[in-house]
Amino acid sequence: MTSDQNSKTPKNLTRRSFLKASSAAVAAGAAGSFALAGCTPKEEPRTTAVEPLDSDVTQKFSFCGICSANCAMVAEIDDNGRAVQLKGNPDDQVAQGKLCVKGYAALKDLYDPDRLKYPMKRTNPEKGPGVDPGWTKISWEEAYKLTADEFNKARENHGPESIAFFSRGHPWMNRLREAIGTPNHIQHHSTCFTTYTAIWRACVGTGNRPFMLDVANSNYLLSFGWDMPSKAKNMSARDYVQALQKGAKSVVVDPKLTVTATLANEWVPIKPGTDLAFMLAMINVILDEDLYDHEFVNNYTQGIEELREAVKEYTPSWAEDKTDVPAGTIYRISREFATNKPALIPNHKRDAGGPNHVNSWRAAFTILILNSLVGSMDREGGQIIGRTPSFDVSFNSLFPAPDMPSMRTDRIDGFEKHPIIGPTRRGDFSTVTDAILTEKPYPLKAALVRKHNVLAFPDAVKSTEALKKLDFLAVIDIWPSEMVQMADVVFPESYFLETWGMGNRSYFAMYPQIALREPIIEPLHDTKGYGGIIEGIAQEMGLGHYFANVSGGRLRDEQLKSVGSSWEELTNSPNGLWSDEKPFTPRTSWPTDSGKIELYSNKLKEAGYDPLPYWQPKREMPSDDYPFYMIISRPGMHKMSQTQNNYLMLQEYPENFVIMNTDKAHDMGISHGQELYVESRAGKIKLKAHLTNGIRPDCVCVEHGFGHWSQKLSLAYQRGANEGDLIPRINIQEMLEIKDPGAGSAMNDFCVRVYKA
Amino acid sequence: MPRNIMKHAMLIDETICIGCHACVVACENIYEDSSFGTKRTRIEQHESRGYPYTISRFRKFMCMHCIENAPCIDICPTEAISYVEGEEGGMVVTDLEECVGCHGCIQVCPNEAPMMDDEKHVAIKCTFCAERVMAGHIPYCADACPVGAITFGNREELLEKGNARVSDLQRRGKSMAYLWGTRDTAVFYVIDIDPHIYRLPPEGYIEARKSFELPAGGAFAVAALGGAGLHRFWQRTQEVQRADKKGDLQKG
Repeated sequence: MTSDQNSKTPKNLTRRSFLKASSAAVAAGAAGSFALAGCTPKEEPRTTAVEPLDSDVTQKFSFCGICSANCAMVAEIDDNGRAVQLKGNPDDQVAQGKLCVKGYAALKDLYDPDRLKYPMKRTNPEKGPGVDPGWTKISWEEAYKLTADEFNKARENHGPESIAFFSRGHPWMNRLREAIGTPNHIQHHSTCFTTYTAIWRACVGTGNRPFMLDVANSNYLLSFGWDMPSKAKNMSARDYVQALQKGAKSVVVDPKLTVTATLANEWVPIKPGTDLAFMLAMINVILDEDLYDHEFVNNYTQGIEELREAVKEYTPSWAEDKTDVPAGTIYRISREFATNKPALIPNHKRDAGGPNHVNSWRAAFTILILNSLVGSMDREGGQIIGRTPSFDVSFNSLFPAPDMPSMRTDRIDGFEKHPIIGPTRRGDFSTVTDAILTEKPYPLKAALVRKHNVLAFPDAVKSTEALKKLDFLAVIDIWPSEMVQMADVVFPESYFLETWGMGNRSYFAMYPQIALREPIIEPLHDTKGYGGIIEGIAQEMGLGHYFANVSGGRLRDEQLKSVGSSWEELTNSPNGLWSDEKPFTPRTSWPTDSGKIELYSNKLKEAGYDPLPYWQPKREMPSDDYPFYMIISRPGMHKMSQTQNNYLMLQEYPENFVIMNTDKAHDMGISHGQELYVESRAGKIKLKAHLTNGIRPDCVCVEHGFGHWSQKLSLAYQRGANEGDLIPRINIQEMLEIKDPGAGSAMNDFCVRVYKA
Repeated sequence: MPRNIMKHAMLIDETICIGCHACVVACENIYEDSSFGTKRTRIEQHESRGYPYTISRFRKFMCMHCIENAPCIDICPTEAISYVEGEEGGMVVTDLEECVGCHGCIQVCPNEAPMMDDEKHVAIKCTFCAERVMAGHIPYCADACPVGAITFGNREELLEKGNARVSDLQRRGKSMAYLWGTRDTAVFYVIDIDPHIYRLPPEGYIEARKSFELPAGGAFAVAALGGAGLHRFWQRTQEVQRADKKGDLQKG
């Protein structure tokens, strides 16, 4: 295999000879007046050791690991073995030859001098912001042993459930978790898109990626808070612009003038948390005026009559009071949406249907219903159920596990109590904090965290307290994040550009395609991959037999063979891709019990939820104490709280602000740039004011990702503030009372006051 | 002796720019000039009209490569700034070795293109990736743009393409659609509202020798969501004002 890696001569670009000729031409024509120094890198480059063009450039294939869209990349390596540039792979349907701003900046992450370079242990038992952990370099063996001993101690003294894993789903981690016998696997999804997942699981029968869209071919785009262009999501931005260029109409319903809205034909500044009312009224109009797609609805959905009954009262006039949008506008948009095909309400995570408010799952429901009513489910220009290749071979089928210990079913975060979303084991970021602090349902003693930051938890201050309470915390990360600063043992993971892998295009797959990830350079530091670290801990815990014969390479090979390729074929592919390009065939059945999209959901009803999206207001309304709605957004130049230490991205967006309406601010005597406190019932933060007319006067917006307190992040340290400090956490009981089938963390459902600092 | 007009040009379609800064990052990834916040190209966001009729637009700021009589070349006391000669030339480039950091180019540039690197005391600006272009490639920013808002190529073809896009926009009711900058510069902007809002002179071109006044003070510069762009803009304004007070800058 390794020799194959080096035999890619057709792909290798050798520009030197070409350049020599052209440089000579330049010199001849220059006649002394043109010095090349002006267009070459500065004398002391920070990363590039040589001029980028005057070198042999080798290409390596990878796909981006910054977000899960996984745009396929081509990396250019100079003849000193240094990566100089990342580009989009032109043959990849996701990247289409381009990357987003974060992808272009990723080399700065790779070469970040602040990266974790070796395993470490803490020498100062004191933990928290402002505390020096007193890091000592240790060997991998010692790191494994320390972790294994602590995990075994917790398991013996407090039961296996006293150990939790905070991590995205990963077969190695899951194997270890099951071998230990703990149900506690907690991911960030309750802050991200579990509302959509729950609705799709109930109504469509699949919910893994309920946000795949064919925006480019849409003729009418109606966004309820969908704003992927300003998050710079590569495929969304490109497809949105393509649709506009082809003449699609775009209407954006959002309290904030987002980038999507600035490019749109119309901006409708709706009152936060009332999108549900707008959409219920749309359903009312579309059914009342018989504008729905009869062919699609009759053949592929069930429950239209129950739906008709449910929305009878929800007229546009009724919605006008709730939404602050004139009834006439709602009528017009309803009619436009139903008569300009293909029409689409695009969605992606934290928009109107994401877990922002306690009624957001209902908004996710109405989005699904409206897209179904106009026949845009799994149709060109509509919402797509991905053609992502599914493998017959899984980690568990290929490497069957020895008998697993019995496991109690009640989880630390109470997530199993939610019948629809519980089986996904996504876990709950919101409820876990109180559960740890109150030791209910039981005490949590030790945890392993991989690449989740405590800054991202609702009520981050209290979550930090909760983590402090643990006897032992092991953290796997790439950078010395705040979570790392809370750790007892730190495992440095390799950056994605240093690893092998394959990606099956799970965010955008109009046809099956798999991308290769090869290390573009040798690992810069003494780091390992996640699976290897898990195996190391398992061995020391005496659970090594659960990983006998486990091999990532073999898993990839067998999975590829199950779709008719192989690892050898993929690694020798001239473009780093395996593609099964075929025309898009619209789906005619859905994996529900009825085989149809269930607009009236028996599943929801059986689980004790409303089977139809009745109106429910958001939880908290502006009051004298907290007069502003709170909106949380994310700048396109950053991926959550992960990229603030990247020189290039930080330069483009160096801190976050309190974004508020200019006139409103002036009424309050607040000027642009002035320091303000934003305070909620959970906490307060200090930030500078950023005034704009592009936001409702009753809203303030803070962008996520800032407020790093880890001093080891030399660039990101103390820039801006973390809006997570303001988000009220929810305990298990409150979460059950909300009756959200997605158990969403209601990230925006609170109000704030703003005053001068 | 009249020079040949550069045959290359850049077309920036501001009606589809998403303000993502990919162009800036792709440029900075290669040309590692400068102190924090000093860039060869930058994105500003400008807004106009009160809530709820607010409109907002992005503009990619960069050297527009005046096709003749570039004022920065004239004022540069050390001849650090020059035109690239030859058939494939015409770009306005800087030799940073020769730059003495006098702020002259920053003062006279009607387009606010050069930026002062406070650490190295040199003025940096876009060179149209001259070396790369002469080797048959396109500039990094144009290569990077994920939505295809930046096109680099033959001047005549881009004029045609820009005009076609403008007609298309006008057909769809964007009566203000306009191809800006075709007279004096090698950078054209497709815009769809009043040039003022992009901080572009309303005449439709930059008259190279005339320093132009910023429209309506800072009123349009409020947004600049990137923060750094706005910050640099104020900083630069202050620098120029400070320099002015000291009287050590020539007026263009």
